[in-house]
Amino acid sequence: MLRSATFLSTVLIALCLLPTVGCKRSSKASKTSSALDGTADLITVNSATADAADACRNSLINLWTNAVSDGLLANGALTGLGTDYPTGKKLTTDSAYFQLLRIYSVIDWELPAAIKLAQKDGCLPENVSLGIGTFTDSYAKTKPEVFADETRALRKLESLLPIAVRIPTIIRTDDFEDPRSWPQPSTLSESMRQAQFAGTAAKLRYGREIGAQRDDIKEKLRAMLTTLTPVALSTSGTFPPSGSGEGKLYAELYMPPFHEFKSDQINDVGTWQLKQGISMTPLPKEVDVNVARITHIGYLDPQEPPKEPLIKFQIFKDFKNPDEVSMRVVFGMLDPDGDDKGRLPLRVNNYRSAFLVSFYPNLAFDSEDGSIKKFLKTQVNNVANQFRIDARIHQLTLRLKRESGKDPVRNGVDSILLHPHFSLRDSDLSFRLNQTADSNAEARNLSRVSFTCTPTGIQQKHNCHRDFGAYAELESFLLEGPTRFSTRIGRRIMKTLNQLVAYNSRFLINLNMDAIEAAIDLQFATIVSEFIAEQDKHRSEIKKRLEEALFSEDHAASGG
Amino acid sequence: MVSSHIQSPRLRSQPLLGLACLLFGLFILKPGAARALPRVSDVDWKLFYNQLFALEIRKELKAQGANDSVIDATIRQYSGYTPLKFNEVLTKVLGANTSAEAFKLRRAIYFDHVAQNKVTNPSFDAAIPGNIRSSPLVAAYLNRIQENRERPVSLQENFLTSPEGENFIQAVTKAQGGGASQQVTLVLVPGYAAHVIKFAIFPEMLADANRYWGRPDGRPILAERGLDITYEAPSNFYSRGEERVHPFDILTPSGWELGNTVGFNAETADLLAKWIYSLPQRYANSKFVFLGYSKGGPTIFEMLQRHPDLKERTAGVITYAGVLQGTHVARFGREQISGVLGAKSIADLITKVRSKTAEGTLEAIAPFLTAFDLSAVKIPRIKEVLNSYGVDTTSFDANSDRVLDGRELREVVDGLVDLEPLTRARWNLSYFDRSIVAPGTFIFNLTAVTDISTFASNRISGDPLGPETSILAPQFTGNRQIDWSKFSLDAWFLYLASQPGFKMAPGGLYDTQVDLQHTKTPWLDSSPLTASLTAEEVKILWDNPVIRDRVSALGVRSFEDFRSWPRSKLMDADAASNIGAFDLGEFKGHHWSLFLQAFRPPRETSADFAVWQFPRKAMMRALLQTFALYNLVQQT
Repeated sequence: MLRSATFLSTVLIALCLLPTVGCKRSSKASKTSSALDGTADLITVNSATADAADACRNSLINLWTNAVSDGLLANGALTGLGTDYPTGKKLTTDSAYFQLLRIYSVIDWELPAAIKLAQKDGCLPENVSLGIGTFTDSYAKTKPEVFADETRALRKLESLLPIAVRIPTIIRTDDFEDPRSWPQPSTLSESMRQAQFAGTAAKLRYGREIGAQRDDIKEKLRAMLTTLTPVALSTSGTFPPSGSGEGKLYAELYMPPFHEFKSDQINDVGTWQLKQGISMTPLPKEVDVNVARITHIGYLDPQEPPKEPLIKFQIFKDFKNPDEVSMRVVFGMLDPDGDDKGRLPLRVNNYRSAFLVSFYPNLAFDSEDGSIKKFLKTQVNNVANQFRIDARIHQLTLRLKRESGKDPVRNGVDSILLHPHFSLRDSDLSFRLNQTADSNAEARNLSRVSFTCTPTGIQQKHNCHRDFGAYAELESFLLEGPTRFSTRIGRRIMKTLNQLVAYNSRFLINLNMDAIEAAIDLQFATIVSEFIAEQDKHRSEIKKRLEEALFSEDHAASGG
Repeated sequence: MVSSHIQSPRLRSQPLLGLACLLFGLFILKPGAARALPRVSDVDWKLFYNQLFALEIRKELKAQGANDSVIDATIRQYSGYTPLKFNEVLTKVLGANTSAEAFKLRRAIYFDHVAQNKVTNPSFDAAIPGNIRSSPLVAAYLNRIQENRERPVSLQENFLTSPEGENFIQAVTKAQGGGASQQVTLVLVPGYAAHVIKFAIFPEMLADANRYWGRPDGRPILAERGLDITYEAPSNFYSRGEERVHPFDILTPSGWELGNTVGFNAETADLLAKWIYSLPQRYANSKFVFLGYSKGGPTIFEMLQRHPDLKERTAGVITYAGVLQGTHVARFGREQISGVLGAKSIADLITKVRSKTAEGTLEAIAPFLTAFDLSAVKIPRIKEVLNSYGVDTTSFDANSDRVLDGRELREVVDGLVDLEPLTRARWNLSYFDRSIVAPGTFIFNLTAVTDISTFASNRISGDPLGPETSILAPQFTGNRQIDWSKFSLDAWFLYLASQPGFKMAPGGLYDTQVDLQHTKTPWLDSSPLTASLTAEEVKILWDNPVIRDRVSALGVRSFEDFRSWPRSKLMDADAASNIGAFDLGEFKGHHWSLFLQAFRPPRETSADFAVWQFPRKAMMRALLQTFALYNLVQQT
């Protein structure tokens, strides 16, 4: 007798994308799956989906699992080929960033037709919502469990999934994150948001604290894995009946912050530590974005690390535009009073939780530049290269677009790839202007115009910086000039401005946004994929060690 | 009546049969090799075979009412013809720096329009030189093929009674001198873990042969206890039907007849020889063509080395994805297990963890057995999947004990060692010379190259006849059931188990189990051993006194010579020129394309199962007609 697993596939796929790492600090038997005291890992399903007829729900599951399978397979065909050839040339493979983009592109390409087909063949629930995250246990108890049989079946599958994965309880909720409200704040109830906030905060705290200790190695590894695993995922869609408008889809994913992996002894797991953030790191190859030379990137302020930093990805799809997706990446920190009112509230406009890009203004040479133009650019660069500017990215806005009318079979899978287009104007950035003072007097002068100076400990040298809340502030500072400057540095800045004006350069003043955006479109992926690859490497290593630890334990327990 | 068909006019029209046998002392495909072979090597066998494969696909699709554009797209989907030699393909693909570039280069090679036009060209002139085409026997054979070019062929039609089949039998039974006749039997030799896979390879053509000779479509199962399946004895089964000579037949060993097929090749090779010896009398004078699938490939050659008396009865060997030169993933699997076990054996480990429940033990062992095809221990996992879908699999429980107590798991390392590139290279350098088969014998290699996106829906795979939904994505029907006809357990297994192999294969050219290069006979391989072996492994071979003596006799003067010479030269391929070793090239498919489906849902759950979309029967018809032409060219 076949017992149906209506949600099995969807949940399995969701779990593959978003494994919930179980913690083991509970002494109680709970109806929910989380073992961390007071919290519950839940899959939330909106009532319209939970109550839908099987056939309707099945249509949705079928189209979704099929699109995801196609995405995975299309990507799988292009990646991991010959990368570990043991006795010859090893090929490199696309970074996780590109792979995710490819998988998502295929899913996005397939969905419109699949939805239409599902609507034609049977029915689809009009409002669909599925989320995974950690909530308070008290909240979980107020919600009816649904698909209990399916959950039990899924738990039997746990042994087939990555070892640290726990199958959450599935609950029904009347809350619905309405995609039509994009880009306005969450439409979820305050009680649900608060419960998820509290549960998530507890889990993040657990990960940080237990991951740092060295008494219980297995638990330490579990906790470390927690801190590298997505925190929450939700997706919701509206699918109006055929002929009454186009559907809309909204998804958001909360990721833990990037971490740096440190250890005194690589073979001693007890010494393994994850440090939040990435210290300013020189790029393996400097990236030229036409008007600037990006040299370093970093994440989170090393001087004042924020408490609960999180990275939020938001994706919005209006099926009216089948070849376009809106996307936002928010670098914030968990804060009940945060100004970003999503499912989890985030405080965004804070320099401490930003993604940092360090650059030197630099006009790139063009092969078509004549000798005069080259001379002028050289003059500008000689001066401008003295200033290092840190751009702090709080929120990136991207539009993902694909060329329409392409066919993956005829033109290759990458012909339907969505290409990110960066929008500087719609993003939220702030800047830090860095300057070195060679003497105490110079440092004092810089301090008078709101620079913060720190002695380097080498003679009288100081590192000074001044923050600008937005590009406009930096621009006006440079345009108006620090009139009170009478020092060498002051004169240097003035000289720069004068030269800039003299050469009629548009660099720094009235920056050529389009050029920057176009250059960032090309370079963004390279920069981001480095981070993701590094992060993924740590996660794999920790997971491997955890599995080894569990195996050793099992082995030892049975006398092996 | 089948019998009247069997005593076909063509056999009766060979009145000189007995005389010819006396005159030549042979019933065989054995030629006056040195004289005939230069003609054989003038034929472009790869092109000819691929033209036939394309033609047979066309005929099948015509019967299904497909239009020309669907037919052409389907041929493109499965044929992998390229005029490049496989070493050239590898060199070209390895010109890439990234996986994505390699994938694109591979597509450019295997989807090349010029090459595709060659295989769909109705003329065989490019493949067969005029002086061979003009030979009366060859001309008659080719004319019959051309006469039937436009004939639609339904999948249900029995090949052996079809006009093409009659033409084939007439050609393949031609013995030396053109006037004599011979019997030929094709033996399908299955591969790794075959004894626990209940379903035969090339089932459609096997059923045709069984039906043709008055036997049931498949060998009846007498008893089935989990993994252990007892079939009707071959001596009984192949004695069915009227007692008479079988000019052409197709047979295959099943179940435990080849022993523990995940263990050492030698045991399987000896059992295969025994199986041949024990066939009914009607095959006593038959020549054999062996089709070695996967591990079946090296098994056949080990059999011929260990039982040299069978060489004279061997007309040819065809390998389909044969692990002739090993596979990198076997080395990886063995190293992975050794790394965990240290000095202990896997049997020690099983004994020590045996106090746990059977499934607990399997769970403990399974992580170390995931990278390669070990169907036996995968079954509990598959059972879990089925359970989670609510399928009652209590009957599977007995399998857990059976796997732990059985030989497969305990001998798994032996089997892996035998499939490692080092072991195969050692064996090849020791035995794979001109004496491995009798002069004139043909050796054809056929290789699958897998693009994993063919498991996706037809919108991604591009297969015009492919499924509308991915075979990896379970589709639920309205009554809360899985639609098993659209959900492939095989695909899940191959997808999950093949990922390390794709990474290890040069350029990712892989069939989900074996690297492309390693499926070809070393005589055809112009790359040095270092392309397959680590520096330490090459040194181990160099330090082997038997191998050192053999290669020194061929002119190898130093270790540098040994590591840098083309391996074909190290195996004295030039001296084997009176043996017809030819590469039939690649096709787009995978290691299991020749099954309908190896893993199926339990019958009580569903009678439906997904079927691999692959033109198996067209492929086999093309293969048969190819080696029939080989026979004609060689014999005349």
